[in-house]
Amino acid sequence: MIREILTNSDIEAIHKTSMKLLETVGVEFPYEPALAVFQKHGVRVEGSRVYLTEDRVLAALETVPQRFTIHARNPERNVTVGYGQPPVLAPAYGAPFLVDYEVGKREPTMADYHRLVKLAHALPNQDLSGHLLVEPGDVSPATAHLQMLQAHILHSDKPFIGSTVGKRGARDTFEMARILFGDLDRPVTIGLINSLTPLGYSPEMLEALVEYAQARQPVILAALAMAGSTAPITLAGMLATQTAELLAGIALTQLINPGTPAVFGSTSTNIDMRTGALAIGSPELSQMIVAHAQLARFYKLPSRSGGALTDASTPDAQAGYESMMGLMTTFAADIDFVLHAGGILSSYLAFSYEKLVLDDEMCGMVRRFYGGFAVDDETLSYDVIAHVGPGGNFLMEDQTLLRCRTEFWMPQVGDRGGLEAWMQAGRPTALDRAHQRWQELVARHEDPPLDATIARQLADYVAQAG
Amino acid sequence: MSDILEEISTAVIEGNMDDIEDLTEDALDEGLSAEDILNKGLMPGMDYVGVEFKAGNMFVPEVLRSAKAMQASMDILRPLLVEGGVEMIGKVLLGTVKGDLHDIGKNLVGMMCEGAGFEIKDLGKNVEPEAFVQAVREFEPDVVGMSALLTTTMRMMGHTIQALEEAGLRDKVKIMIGGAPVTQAFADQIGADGYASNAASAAELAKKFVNA
Repeated sequence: MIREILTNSDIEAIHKTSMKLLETVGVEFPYEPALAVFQKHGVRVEGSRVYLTEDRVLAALETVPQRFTIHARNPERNVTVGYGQPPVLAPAYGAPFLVDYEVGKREPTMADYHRLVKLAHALPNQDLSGHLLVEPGDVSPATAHLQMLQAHILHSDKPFIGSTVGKRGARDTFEMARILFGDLDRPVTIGLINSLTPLGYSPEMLEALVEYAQARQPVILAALAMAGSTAPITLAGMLATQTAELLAGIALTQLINPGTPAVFGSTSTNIDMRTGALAIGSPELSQMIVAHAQLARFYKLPSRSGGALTDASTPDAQAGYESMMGLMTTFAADIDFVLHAGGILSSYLAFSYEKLVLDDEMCGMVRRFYGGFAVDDETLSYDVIAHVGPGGNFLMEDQTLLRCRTEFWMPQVGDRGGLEAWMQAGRPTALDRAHQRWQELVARHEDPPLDATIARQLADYVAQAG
Repeated sequence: MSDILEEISTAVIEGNMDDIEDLTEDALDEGLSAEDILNKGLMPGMDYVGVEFKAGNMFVPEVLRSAKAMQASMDILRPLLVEGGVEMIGKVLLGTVKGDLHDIGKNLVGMMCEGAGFEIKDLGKNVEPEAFVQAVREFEPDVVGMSALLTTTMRMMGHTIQALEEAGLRDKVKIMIGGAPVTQAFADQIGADGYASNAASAAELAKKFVNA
């Protein structure tokens, strides 16, 4: 089920505009090794400005795999991203603050980080345990990524996302992955590379891009463009701008190492014109998700976008309706990879334990919706209907008994207990229940077994690299 | 005479780039001093904009346009103010710290401070601590404003404050910081004098610093 917002001629027009931008205005790549690659392939470079022709960029894109598998340390947890696959979900990434049930806004700690990885591991709809779930404030920024990667490997056997804190973050990720997997001859992680809209990249991101491409490990190239501020106020203009810079970045990965899995990503949206602040709970964000997905399919690239996104600072009704709109749209648009599928508050600035639980539940609902249902001789139930007859009841039928635990989706957190029970319980809210739920899940967490030698080698690596 | 001053205020409020320069010249021709044009024409206009912005009635692009109109008039008035020995209410030095390329918020702060009557020097983005030190020596600001959008570059604010201390310049300025991941607690931690969460309150904080 794919919802479309752009017509074919809209797509062509955006494409043509992006190509014109690439060829005439160019994209900034302030990193010598990246410029050298472009020059080696005959691309016009003036200073740090790169000018790609339509032919050159489309030729480069031809080697991007339409589908790839990220391997987990438990092969049953491998995830396949791309063409023909349903959306792969990963938790929130990069929030500098937590919104705590008791005290509200506070700084996250490494202790929080360990708990959050355990929670991401326990929740059924998070396909990866993620990375940078929050920015822990009590560890040195130079080595935080090492401790985070270690936490993911120890507490979860789901695939993890890699660090892209420059060359160092990338290399440390690959070293730790090598300890865990033995070698890196297949994708074992994925790294997030952000562009710097409009039409550029920061040196740090380019360092990481080059490392990942050389190691042939998957990258997501994502724009967080802000309509009216870092991009034109019109969504069409924003799409043209970011498509140009993203395609240039993806082309670079292919010129470095053809066949490196690359994902075309967008978390772009409008700003609120009253404050200048980002508005990720807006209907415009949902429009962007759909349009971006269509462009991804046009270029035959896997897509990343969407999630459970809200501007609200607490898991309240606003957080609910904004997140659900974003999430439903993400699935409707058939986005391949979803970061921020759980936990985000305050326009990407904050993470909440309770929000992660509630979002995961929403992911379950949406997955169930898109899972469809079977229509066949058995489910058409002719014999059962005939047997029960007019005015009868199906509750005691064998078919009902057999299927009663599996036929329907059941909430783990949502309340279906009824009005009276709710009054008796003291009028609890979804937030209260989510708070209870995450504490239960974290309390009963057990680290999946990990070879003791590997665990020790990882610990040694973190200690000496730090 | 007050008519032309009102027209100038209105031009600022409306962000009227077409007329503001002519109106400024007309006011000067009528014999009004640069100081009066600034204090009785431009400033009331920007004060109104500030109030309306805070109330959510004027939007960011409109506020920026008003600030731009005021700057256009100031370009004409500035040499005359210097000549007449008139001082702005203070000087603000701004920059986005080393390693960080985000500057929209800082630019907004610059505009709001200029609208509040400050003389601004903006060092741009990715500014080394040494560059801040040098600029403090040369420009002699009352207030230094630092901006960072990344948690990884925030600590450069601490390094920059340290650099000012080592240069013996720390107590010559008031330091305010801002940016999405920045907090009052962080400001206290690194020894900044203040923190503002948006451009309008940054301008107010700067005003408080010079009146103190």
